[in-house]
Amino acid sequence: MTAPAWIAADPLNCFTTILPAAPLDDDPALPLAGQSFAAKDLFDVAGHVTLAGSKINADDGVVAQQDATLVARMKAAGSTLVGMTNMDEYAYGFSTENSHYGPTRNPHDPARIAGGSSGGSAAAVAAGLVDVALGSDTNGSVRVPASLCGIYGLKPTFGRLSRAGTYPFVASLDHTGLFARTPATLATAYDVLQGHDPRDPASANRTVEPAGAALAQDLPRLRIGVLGGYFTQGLASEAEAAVAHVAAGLAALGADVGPALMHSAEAARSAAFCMTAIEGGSLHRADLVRRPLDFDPAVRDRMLAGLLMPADLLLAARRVRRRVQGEARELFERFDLLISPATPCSAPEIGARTVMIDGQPVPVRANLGMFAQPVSFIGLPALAVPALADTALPIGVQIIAPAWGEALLLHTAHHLDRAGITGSRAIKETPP
Amino acid sequence: MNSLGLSNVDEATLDVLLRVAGLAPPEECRAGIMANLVLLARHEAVFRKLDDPHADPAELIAP
Repeated sequence: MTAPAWIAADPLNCFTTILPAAPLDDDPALPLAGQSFAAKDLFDVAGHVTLAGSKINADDGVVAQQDATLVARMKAAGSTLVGMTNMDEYAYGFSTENSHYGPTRNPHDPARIAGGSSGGSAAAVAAGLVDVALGSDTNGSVRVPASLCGIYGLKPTFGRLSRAGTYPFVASLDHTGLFARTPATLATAYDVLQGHDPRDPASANRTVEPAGAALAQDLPRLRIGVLGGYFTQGLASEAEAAVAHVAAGLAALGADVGPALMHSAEAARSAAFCMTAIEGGSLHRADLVRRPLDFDPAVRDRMLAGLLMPADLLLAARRVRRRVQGEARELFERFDLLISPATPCSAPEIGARTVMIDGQPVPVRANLGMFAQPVSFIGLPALAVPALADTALPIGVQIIAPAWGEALLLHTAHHLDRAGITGSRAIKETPP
Repeated sequence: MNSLGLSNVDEATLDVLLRVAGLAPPEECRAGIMANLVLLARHEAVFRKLDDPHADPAELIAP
């Protein structure tokens, strides 16, 4: 797929930096030969300032001395870096409406957001500007924009992919992840990115578990739990339709599909919400004191409020995390995979503060990640898949696996894609 | 009840919290901070119900 001509000059504002054009590496021995990629602008790229969506980093002008590990691994595998992508400031948001660098627009409707915080990466992939893009996901920042842009977005298990050379947000929740238009492309890149990295203290010292080679094998008879309760509240009709469509598709592929409940999901989301404000505020305390007006106001005020929270609240959130982990382990004794909406609705309009769900106005920024947060809170791998349901705009379904179950996620997604149950939609050839 | 007892935040309460934290943000930050404090307190109320500090060690050292 190549991008329609109207997108080539980046009217969607996917990029904060576009690198000089370079020929694609055509060495057939390399797994990503002939491919291109983009990196969210919190991955270090040697010779460039890592902006992390901020004015502060731009003003400080600290130039990265080496590539982030994942950037280096993509290059070593033959992929060519095209540029660095727009994001919410310091990854704190779900909309990529950046007050310094402008909003990233959704390729399916440029009047709408791309989602965030890895919105530039998702939009660049959806638009066909690159084959793969790197992102990060602390509370849903890969899965939310993947859902709104209609592509595949993988957030692996906590510790699976290196974070070395990435600008942190919430160290205890930060994951790196990636986007692609097909599960096969995603799996090939994911396999290249795997492997222990001593530069990242959170990197798990596990053997590489390749996902790509087994994609075409028959799918085992899966036990699929469709998450109810919390995961069915505050949903727009398109999100309901997407989950029903993928659940029916999995059943058609031979899976046993039944209801599942994660009783602690709402508490998990709330604990993640508080932990994020506290740890994020703590990370940026010096700049919040010294130059608060250089922050995006929405980010700044959330972090300042986090700095006012008592230590007891953070301890309580960590204790609750252990409880939620225990419940999830029990769920995976009965199910191989769980599914839920990736987002409560499809892409809202740029600038919208609320969306109407069930006739009620619901805040956009706070709620787009409400179904993603309970999962990243406990570090489980999850894959947002674009449902090819009868909806006007793309919307994704989140498939969740037990820890280290990325290969099963990608295997399942490949079969869904091949059966036409999920898949990326073409971008219009002329501007909508 | 959440730990700060916040269902609403007034200016005097915010002044105390900021002083304790050693912060003095500009005036234009105050409304946003107060709104976020209320939001955090709402979320705290949700997950406190699940917390049992006597049963769960928060973090274990894994040497």
